[in-house]
Amino acid sequence: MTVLLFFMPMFMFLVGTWIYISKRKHLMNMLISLEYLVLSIFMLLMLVTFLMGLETYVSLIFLVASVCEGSLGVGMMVGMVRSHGSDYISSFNVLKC
Amino acid sequence: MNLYFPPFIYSFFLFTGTMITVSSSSLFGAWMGLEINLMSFIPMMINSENNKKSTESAIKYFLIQAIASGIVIFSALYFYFFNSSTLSQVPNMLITLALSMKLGMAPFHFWFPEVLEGLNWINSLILLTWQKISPLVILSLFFYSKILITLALTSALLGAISGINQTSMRKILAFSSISHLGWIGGMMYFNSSLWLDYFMVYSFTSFILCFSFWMLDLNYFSQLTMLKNLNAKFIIFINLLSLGGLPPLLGFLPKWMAMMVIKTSFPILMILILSSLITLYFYTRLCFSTFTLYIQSMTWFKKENSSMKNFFLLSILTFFSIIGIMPMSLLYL
Repeated sequence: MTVLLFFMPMFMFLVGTWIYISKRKHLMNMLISLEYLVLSIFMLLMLVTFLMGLETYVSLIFLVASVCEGSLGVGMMVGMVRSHGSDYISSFNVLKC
Repeated sequence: MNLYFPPFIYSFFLFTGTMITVSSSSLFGAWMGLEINLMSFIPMMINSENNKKSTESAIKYFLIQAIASGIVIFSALYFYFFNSSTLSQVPNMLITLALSMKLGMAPFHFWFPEVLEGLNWINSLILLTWQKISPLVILSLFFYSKILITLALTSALLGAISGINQTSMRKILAFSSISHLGWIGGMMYFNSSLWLDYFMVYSFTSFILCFSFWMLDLNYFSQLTMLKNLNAKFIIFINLLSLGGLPPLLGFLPKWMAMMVIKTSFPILMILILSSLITLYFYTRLCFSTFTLYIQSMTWFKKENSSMKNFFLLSILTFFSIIGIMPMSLLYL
């Protein structure tokens, strides 16, 4: 049972990474799948803290940091809408190599 | 020269994030430092103006760094599960790949020149040097050696080869940084802590280059051939060749130390030195065409453009870059 529990966040993480790297038409899609990745890591963190008998305040710090990261991403999406006019990833064409 | 730099307050958090990473006793603290580092560097990149280049490079940097630090904390948590099984090296492999993605080592290097192209020179310098400290420190503690040496050799070769046709100075610095990361990874593979010295000398050299490019308002190679001041050309090219590692200059010293570390394994050393020769080839090619081509002097150039700003400071820095190898190599006797 516990082995199954270990592999479930890994499955969730792989699914989230797949969505992150394949569904990249809108920036919003990428940010939402990034939040999904954060949720899978949060589930893994809670599993680790419960199984090892550790304190759970670490998960609070983790949530604060990841929410900061997500809000920074949304803020940059607003900046992108102001400068590019949309949130299409394909409109990134200024800095091509 | 404009020293007004609005997001100066974020540089405090940048410093704090790196310090948290290098001094934390757990991988969670190291991840926290990486996140603080990322979240303080993004506002510095956007830099109080909201144009296309800064937004694009900030978003690219954010997307790459966010997924990479996600993989770092993910594999750090799997250290708890896999510690006594046949899979015990899997978190090490994952963390090596994720940190090399944060650093921009070779198979994951495609974001690095594009991000660097949209920044100004101060932020380029920060991205080239300061942002690499915390991933390199974590990498030196948790690397999986076979993957690390593969990535190091690949990035040395790819950074050298793909830097050949570049005309933008930022992209030349970016590919040179990728190939230097190859050397650093090669030293790390032999469990040497001398990579820190390599990194410090590399930081000094790229500081001189970014500073002189900033002072001389140089962004592309074509501006370099049109410089009217010969001293400026000498300053730029002495420092470029020093970055490439030409022997009498300062940039050769870290490569010398790296050769002494890596000399037990001949094929690794051969690949690294050959890739460094490719780098020196295209620096020398830039140098050759700049010094020998006919200098066009436009009549609409203003008179004060020919006099250099901060010539004294740049000369002193270049002087360090010329003779710096002698006192520095006495330190390592």
